[in-house]
Amino acid sequence: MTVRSVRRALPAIVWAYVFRLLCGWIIASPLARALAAQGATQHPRGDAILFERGGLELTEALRLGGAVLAEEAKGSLLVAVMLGFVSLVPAVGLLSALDEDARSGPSEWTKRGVALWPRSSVMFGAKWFAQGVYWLLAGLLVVFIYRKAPTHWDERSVDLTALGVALLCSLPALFLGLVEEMARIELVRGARLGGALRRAVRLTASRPIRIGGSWLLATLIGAALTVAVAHLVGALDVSRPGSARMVGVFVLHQAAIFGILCARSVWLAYCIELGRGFDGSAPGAERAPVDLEVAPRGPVPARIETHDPPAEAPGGR
Amino acid sequence: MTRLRALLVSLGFALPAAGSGGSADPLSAPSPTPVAPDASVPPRIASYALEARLDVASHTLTGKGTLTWQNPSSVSTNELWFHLYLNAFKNEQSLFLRSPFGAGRSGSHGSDFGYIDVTRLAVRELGAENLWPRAAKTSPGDADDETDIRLPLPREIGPGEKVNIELEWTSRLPSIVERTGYSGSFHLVGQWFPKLAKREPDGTWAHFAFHPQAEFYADFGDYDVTLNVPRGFVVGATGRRVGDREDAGRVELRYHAERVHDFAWTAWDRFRERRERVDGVDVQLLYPPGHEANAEDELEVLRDALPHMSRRYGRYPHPTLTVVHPPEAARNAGGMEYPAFITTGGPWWAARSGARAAPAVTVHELGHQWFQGLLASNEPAWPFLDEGVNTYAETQFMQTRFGTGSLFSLGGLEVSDLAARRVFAIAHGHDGAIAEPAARFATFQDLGALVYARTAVALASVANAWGTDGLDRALERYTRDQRFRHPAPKDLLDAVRAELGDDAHDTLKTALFDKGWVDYELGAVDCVGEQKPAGVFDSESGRTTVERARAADTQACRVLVRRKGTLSFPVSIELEMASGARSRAHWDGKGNWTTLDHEGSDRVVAAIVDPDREILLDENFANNSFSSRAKFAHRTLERATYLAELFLGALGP
Repeated sequence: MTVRSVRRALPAIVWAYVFRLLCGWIIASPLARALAAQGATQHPRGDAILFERGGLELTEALRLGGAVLAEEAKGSLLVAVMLGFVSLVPAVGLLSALDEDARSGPSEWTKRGVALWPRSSVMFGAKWFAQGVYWLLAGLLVVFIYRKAPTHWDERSVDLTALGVALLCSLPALFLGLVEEMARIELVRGARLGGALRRAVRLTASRPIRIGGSWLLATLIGAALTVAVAHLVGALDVSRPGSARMVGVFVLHQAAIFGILCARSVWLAYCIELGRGFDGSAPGAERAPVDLEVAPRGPVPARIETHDPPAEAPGGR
Repeated sequence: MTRLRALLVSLGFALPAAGSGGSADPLSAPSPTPVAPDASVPPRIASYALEARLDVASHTLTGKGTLTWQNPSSVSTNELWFHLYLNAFKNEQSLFLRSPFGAGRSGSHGSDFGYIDVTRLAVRELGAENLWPRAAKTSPGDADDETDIRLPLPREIGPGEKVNIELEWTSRLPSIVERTGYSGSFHLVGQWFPKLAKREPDGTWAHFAFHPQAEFYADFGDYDVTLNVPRGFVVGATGRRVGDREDAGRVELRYHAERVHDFAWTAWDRFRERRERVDGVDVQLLYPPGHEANAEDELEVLRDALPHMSRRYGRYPHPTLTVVHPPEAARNAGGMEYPAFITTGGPWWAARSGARAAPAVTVHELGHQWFQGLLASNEPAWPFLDEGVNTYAETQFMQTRFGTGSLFSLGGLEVSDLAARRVFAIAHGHDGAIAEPAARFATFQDLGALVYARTAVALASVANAWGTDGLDRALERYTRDQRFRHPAPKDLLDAVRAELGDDAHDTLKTALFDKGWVDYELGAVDCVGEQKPAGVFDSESGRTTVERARAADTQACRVLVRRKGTLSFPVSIELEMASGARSRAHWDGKGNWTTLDHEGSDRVVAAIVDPDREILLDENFANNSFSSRAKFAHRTLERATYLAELFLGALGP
């Protein structure tokens, strides 16, 4: 079922990937221009020199363009945060595509993403804020460990203990992140903000190993892809002449990004399946009878009718 | 911070004013001739036989012993000068600690003070009287510092005369600031005994207060040291262990080292130890628990570096080498050199990080066994002679051993040790001269960039321009001639002149002493098409009409190359034609500019000065090239876009 959903949603994955590529290009362009302007564009070999082994030209470009790059980086960071929020539109679109029984199209996904953007943005921002506070507290705890570690411990033991504590602390932060993802799924499936959050909490709390474990698996697949591609790209060595190398590197990198998106999509589809089978009976998980922002169309209202119980059994499915 | 330090320096903390032995004109002053000029029979000017007992709870040493000293100069002396280096950490009025902005290389004041109290000093040949009460209480010209102490003698000690000086003292170690101190039960014991200043052949004493940016200078001698530590403590020290004895819960270890100018040791009850014979040398590696991977990395690099350095700079002369990797809590003890004893450093995961910091530090400190250990230059007066030349030796080895990823290599990104050092060398290039006494640098950052990095980059530029083999030969000559001696800058420059010629010598001298700099620039590439004149021409044979040609018959191109700055290196200039053909020309680099003229059917479309980036001192590589076909930075954009996509993936939904 999960694999079928993902296969059916492949156009939406491609759509989300293209959106990410575009966002990446917007963020990267000023930085790339500023870096290459430090001599590389006037060199007969172009910016291939920046990728030469030994890093002589790269360190020189960073030295010469340091101040400009720092300013550009600030701007790019701001743009990245903004685009992070904008990326909720294709994210919601992807969820819609994964959730629907029949294939719709980009305009439908976009409409749905735009309609749900205010609520998903609030959740997304709140998650980052909560995680930030949480990490701050966890950081203080780690500092405390370093200060109070028994003197007979060796430094590796202290570091590993601090790392272990940090990982333990990361579990609630991870829980927050997973709840936000689950709640977004619920939003897509028609729940109100409060109901979506409550149901997401119950769902995540009742199946933490399945949801967290599958998330970890998808994340590890993404990390493995990134590392593997880094090694392949290193072997291709774009500092050497030949546009085929450049094309090869582009394809490898984008394959990694697409692979990461696919792994994430499989995970999301799995979570949607879990949500479908979840019979959370706690109150407050009621769904909006009609999504006011988007007129229900295609398979979505049908499932709302099928899975959304009447008001007397709120949230139960 | 910079201004205050500059003020302190200007107030008289410059070392030469304290009699560092730096000559007024260093370039006309070769190294003083030692008592025994034959390098195979090194001089024993100051030999110590010492006993010390370490109380690990109070971090206190109780010591006594005899210093046998021979007046190496042609002049009698009625005084002795002693360095009491540990008094640098006695209080916050010492020259070392008085700056509120931190001290020394680490920038740390430490949390606990240290000091040395001499309780008895008698010169056997002058009677049994304790002479120490006669000693000055403070350093000359500095009522707050107690690191540079003059002791007047009841009678003169003549040239060549040998005396035995009996010493008794108590030292308390500071918490680790750098080079010496304790952290918990870890003890790094350096500069722990009253150290006689070096007397130069002309009769001056090279004495100086301990400045936070400076290091040491001393005469060669033999050391016979007996250390008494609690049982269970693992000890490493300069020299070979020649005896050990247990008594009442303590052990007594006797070490012997010959032809050295210092003695350092360490004791910790948690050291792990590895021993290996490398190139005929017994290497003892001491490291904290959990650092097994670092230890293997460090031994691995030593297996190559020790024979490499011995081949290049003369045989390592000692039977032992102790390598100490301090625990992270005592990280400021790392990266220091004493004869036959070095400290390295790095966190326990360093070996897995992709960075080669621990091997680089190990190689650097090993290099000091030659550049300061054997060529015992005056570090406070000419720090570039040991730190700078040694950094070049380090980068050369790292390049040989690890290639282009000698500093960092991970996921296809490789950065070399020398490329990273060049960044600092160029950034600070105009902040001061390289060849300055340590105390004259405004900040330690300046010293680091100029003395360490810029010297190495200058030497690498000379090697690339006039031949790496030639510079290797020059350094071989320098290290062979100055082995067990105290070289001055002129000795290094003379060796360069002998092997590479006057141009290399003059360029290096300017780079070292005169803030020498250079920037090669591709000024312009101009091409004009040349055609047969068109029009109607009358001649004796009649009227002819020459049509205007659609394309030029030949191209006349002129490439203008400029050299800015005070240094001149010979460089290559590469021209690229429209057809893709390339050619190279050579410019001796003399003069402010040169032009290359090219005529032919092919047009010059690009030019690069120094295409192989040999002149690393070049201040700006960005202006070295011109291309009429400006390139779109698609590789950079592709890589940056990928990284941004990954970032968005981590940040976003």
